[in-house]
Amino acid sequence: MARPSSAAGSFSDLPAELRGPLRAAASRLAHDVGKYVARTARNLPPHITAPIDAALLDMLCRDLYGAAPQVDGPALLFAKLSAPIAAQLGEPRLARVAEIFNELAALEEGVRMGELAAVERACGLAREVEQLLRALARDAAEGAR
Amino acid sequence: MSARPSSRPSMRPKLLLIDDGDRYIELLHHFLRDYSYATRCELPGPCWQCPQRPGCRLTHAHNAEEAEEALRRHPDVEVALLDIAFELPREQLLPLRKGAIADEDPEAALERQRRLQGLAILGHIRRSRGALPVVLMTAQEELGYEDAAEELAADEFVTLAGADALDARALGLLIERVLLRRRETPEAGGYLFGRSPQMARLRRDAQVLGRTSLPVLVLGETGTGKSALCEQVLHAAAPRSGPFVAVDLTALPDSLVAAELFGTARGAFSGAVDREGRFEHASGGTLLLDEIGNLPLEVQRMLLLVLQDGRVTRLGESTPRPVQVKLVAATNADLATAVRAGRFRADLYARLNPAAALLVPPLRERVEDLELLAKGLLRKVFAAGPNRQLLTQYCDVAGLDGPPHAELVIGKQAATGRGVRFAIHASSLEALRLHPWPGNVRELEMLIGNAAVFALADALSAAERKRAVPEAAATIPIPAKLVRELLRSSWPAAQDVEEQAQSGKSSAAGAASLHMGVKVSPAQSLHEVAQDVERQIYAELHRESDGDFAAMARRLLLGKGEGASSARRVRLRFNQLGLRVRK
Repeated sequence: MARPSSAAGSFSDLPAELRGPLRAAASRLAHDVGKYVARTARNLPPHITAPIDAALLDMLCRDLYGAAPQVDGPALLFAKLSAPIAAQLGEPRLARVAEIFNELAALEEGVRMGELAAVERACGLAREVEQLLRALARDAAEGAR
Repeated sequence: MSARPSSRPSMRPKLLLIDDGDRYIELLHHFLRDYSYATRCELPGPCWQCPQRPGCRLTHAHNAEEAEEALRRHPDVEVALLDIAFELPREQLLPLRKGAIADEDPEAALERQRRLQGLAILGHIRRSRGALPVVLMTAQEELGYEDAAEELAADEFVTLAGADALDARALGLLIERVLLRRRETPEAGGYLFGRSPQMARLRRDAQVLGRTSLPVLVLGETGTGKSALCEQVLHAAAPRSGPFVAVDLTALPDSLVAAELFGTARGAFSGAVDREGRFEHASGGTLLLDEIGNLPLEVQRMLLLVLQDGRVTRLGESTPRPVQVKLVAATNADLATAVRAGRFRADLYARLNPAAALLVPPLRERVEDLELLAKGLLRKVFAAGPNRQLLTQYCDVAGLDGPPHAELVIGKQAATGRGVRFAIHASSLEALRLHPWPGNVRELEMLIGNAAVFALADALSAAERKRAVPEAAATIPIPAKLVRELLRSSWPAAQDVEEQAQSGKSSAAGAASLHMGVKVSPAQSLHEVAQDVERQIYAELHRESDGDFAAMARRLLLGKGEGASSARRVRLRFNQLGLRVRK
């Protein structure tokens, strides 16, 4: 996937006192959201041609939607953790991740039913979230130096 | 919890996961089933077959305290997998390294403590287990704080899993790479081959023979590392599913050897119970028969049958049981001579594959390896246990940061890593090269351990009295005098052994040439017996020489005892034996 660039400024343009906290926030997004949302997805093949194991499907659903969906899902965590960065930067990667979580919400029923197309699409989106948030954290670390 | 059928001890490498949540353990249990896992429960694994598994919190360690408990319970853990961020209540968090939190409000400090808790746990593990490989399951961009990278750079046994932390296949490959590297490090119990041509040949032959089903005969003097070669190279060379079982045949009474090796059936003899022998216990793995030259002739015949048939019959039974065992026999005796003398069966000797016997050379024949061995052995000395605690204590008192790491440097050689450098003088290294090493690598290990620990204890005393300059505290000199003294007393018979080797005389012959009546009395150990004999010889010589130590040296050292230094050495040994000078 091509790495989007920061549109309305980058981490290195920020005042020095903001760079450290925003770097920490970006790394937290990469760890707490990006890493865990793709936990099961990155262990499944890119093209899913056969129904996946029930235990794996259960793990995938918890990664994508949380154990208690309206309480601790990754979408909610993303909204909370990305707010401080979004307030300072017009960061297109955050906008894209927000779109992905909307699409994942739309796919939820199909994923929970184990529909191959829905599962395959959801896994691809989860991997994209991870890549976007890792790239964001990398840029934040470089900008903070 | 319900009981599950017990199984044989697993030979799969054991992993310990340290993670506040269940994400990793679920993943590992699902995808990486070729490993066993250090749990905090009493039941044998694997967890994924346990009916208690859903909701069980004993599957792994969730914080530093649980990690400590699991490591105590499972000293055989080979790799720890450690997450970096721990969402734990404040009271369960370890403090970060001194200076890691500065000028921040308490909430920010707590947040940092949670995000870097993995590093604090790593530091905690390092205090007791210097060489345990740790895979930190994170990528650089997830660390989030500048000081984290510096902290990690100081630890050579940490591997960052990086972006592949949650890709089970990539993680499995990473674990295998870490295990391979671990098996090659002396502090982790890896075999120290060195670089001499003899050892290069031994390495090649051992790795080839280890992969076959052929029996292997390992020859070499005492202390050369025959047993270690068998376990760490021959057993490890092939992916065997069974254990490594070693039997020291000198430690078993002749009457019990057969029962111990082949097992017994109830009623086979008075008090016999149904019990598997070492052959069955080692099934699927490797059985080392150490000091095979001591095997009684009757048991040699039984062993021959097992080697011919691949089946073992317990004493008192008539039905043989199939066993698949890689047999390794080791000895420091001359088996060919024993065959000629009728003490060892020729057909069994032939079965032990003598044509491909592995000969572990004595240390004196590979002195080019000495420096490398000394460096490796020093790291091993401080890898774990009380020595490591002493090193940790020194680092604390001397104000040295980073994981306690010990390294041996020669003279003004530059150190390659951080930590404490033990500096040995070039003249001491030369003295080590000239020593005959009758006790071989084992003797060298003891000497290096003694020298380093004595030097460390002195340095610790100085540091406690604030006499050490912090910059200088990282280097601890090992005095040349200390090395000389240890060399003299590490193996008192060194000189005798060397000369006897040259003259072809045994110690008994040596005593006979002095025309002495020596009384050998049983004692608690061979060392005590030998010391008593030596004491009698010294006392008698002292009497015959009218207390003239120079004369004693001339007689003891076969004409090479001229000079004041020989007389001093004899006098020192005389005193060490607790004898009194005649008035």
